[in-house]
Amino acid sequence: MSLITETRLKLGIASWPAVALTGKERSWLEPLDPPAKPPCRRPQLVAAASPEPAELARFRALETEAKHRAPARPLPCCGRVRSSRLRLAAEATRRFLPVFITGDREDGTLLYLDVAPGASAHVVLLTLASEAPVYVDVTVGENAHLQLDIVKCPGHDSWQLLSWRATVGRFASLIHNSVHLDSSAYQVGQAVLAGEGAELTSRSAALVESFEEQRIDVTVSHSAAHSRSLVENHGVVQDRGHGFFAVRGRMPQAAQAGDCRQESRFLMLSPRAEAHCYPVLEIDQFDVAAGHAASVGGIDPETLYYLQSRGLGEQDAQRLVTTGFLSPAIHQIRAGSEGGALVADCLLNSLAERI
Amino acid sequence: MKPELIIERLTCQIDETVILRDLDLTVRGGEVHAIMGPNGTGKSTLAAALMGNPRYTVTAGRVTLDGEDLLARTVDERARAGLFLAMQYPSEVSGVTNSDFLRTAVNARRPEDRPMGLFPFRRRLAEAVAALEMNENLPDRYLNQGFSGGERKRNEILQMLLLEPRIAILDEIDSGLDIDALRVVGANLTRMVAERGEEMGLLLITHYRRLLDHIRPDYVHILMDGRIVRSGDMELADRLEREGYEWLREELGLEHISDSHQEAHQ
Repeated sequence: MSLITETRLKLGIASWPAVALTGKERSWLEPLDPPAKPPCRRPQLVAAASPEPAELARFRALETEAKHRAPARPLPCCGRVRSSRLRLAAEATRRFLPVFITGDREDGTLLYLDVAPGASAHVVLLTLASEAPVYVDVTVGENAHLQLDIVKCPGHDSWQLLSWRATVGRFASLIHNSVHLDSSAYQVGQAVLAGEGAELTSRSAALVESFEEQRIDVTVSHSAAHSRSLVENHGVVQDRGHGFFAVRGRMPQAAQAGDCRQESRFLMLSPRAEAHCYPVLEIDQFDVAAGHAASVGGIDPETLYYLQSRGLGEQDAQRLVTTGFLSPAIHQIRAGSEGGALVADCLLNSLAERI
Repeated sequence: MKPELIIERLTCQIDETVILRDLDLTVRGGEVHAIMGPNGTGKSTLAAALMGNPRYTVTAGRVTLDGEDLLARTVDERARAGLFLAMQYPSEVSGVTNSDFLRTAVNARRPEDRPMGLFPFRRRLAEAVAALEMNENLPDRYLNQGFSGGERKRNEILQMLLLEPRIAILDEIDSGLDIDALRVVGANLTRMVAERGEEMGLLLITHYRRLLDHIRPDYVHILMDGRIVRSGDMELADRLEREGYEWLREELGLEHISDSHQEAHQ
């Protein structure tokens, strides 16, 4: 059985069609079980032209902070990349579409994800044992709604490199969640709120195990009036792990009446754990609301006392706080669609095993 | 068996400041006690010391619950023995839903091989939410996160309804409650006291008599200067409401210590 089939069955999402991008091919996977859902029009999945190095370079994070320690593995902007384009047409209901990215290969993967105006979709990008760089370029059309979740399937050791860019149109919204529960990862996200009233909600959950490193870097540019964004990163760092969150909110003149919020928090489970937060706001407009919060610390003793006063043993209380800390992103995946709920349940189980 | 909490000559301090001195009090199942007193006299300290808050150090005295030494036990052991404290400032816990938390807490006091099933639990939770006139989405909200002051207090009572303690201490449960919320909380407490009868003893810590209009205490104690200086019944609370604490200070020959001075000690 192929790795993808195995994972579809394990997650319980085999009755949904899926997209597979492997080292050898791009393919549309039909439901394995008789489809529980009424058959619907298949999204268009085609080959796209290989990107020029200049285009790949745009996926790199804006390293504006001099204090940054350089990533252990920077995002490459040359080398062979296989490009695909996935077009999601307008449909009446919210659709769940898993996209599997897998394969031990050297070629990178570039996926253009175009969401047509007025469409509504829940795309869950599941990466499996994939060390080659992944680039995702998203366009959310006017009045469209996309939930794009990036999940590194737990249980496969790999150093994940991923960068997503998104352009969100007028009155469109993008909800993004990323979940990394093991291994090392470097993930860059760049969102441009290009149209009036565009919205972004981005949440990350990072469980950094011993001797691993996870870096999440998010930039939101408010290029239009009345745009809103919320970036919330939560990380738990175990002994000798290293966590890193950088979030940049950019509000130029055009960001009038915009709202830009960010929060980066690390929960440290050992004195030898290391974490860095870089909260940055660049504001060039008076008429905006913006805020940032960042924290690095252990479990609050008052919280432990409160939970213990209800009869939970110290370890159970710690476990509850720690899993809860990483849950908001997973809960949002669950809220995205029926299929998302199944993926979220697997992630919560996997989290419980690791804490 | 009727629960029995016996506090003997309890002395307690935070950092270097002694807050409780030789305090004696006994609470039995079926009794409702109210502790009143001016600000900064140690009411909340008593609650925290009984529950085992690590910030407070008990330096002398003895506390037993059903004959077992309470002070030798950890916070969670005290809770599982049947002690419950509705806190004045409950913590927020992000990512942990009320439902997940309460189910863990309910099952923590049941034998490991006999946890309460999901459906019986959800039914009981829904009943308690309805009884407290709380929002139906409460079970799926994160524990106390984004709750108003009144919602937090109701959530403490909700936990008490589900955990069925033997001795419950309510630390200023009336502060931050509006009139309607106070009525709902009072009605639930009264019903619980009636239903559980001698299985539960209740200790109310309050500044104001208004809570006692909703749940009538059998005993009223006045805590001043770290000890109980006067015990009586509801008439004592009525007199405090009319005359304040000054007469008592004079009778006892206590110096008037300003609130701000005492607060600085806390």
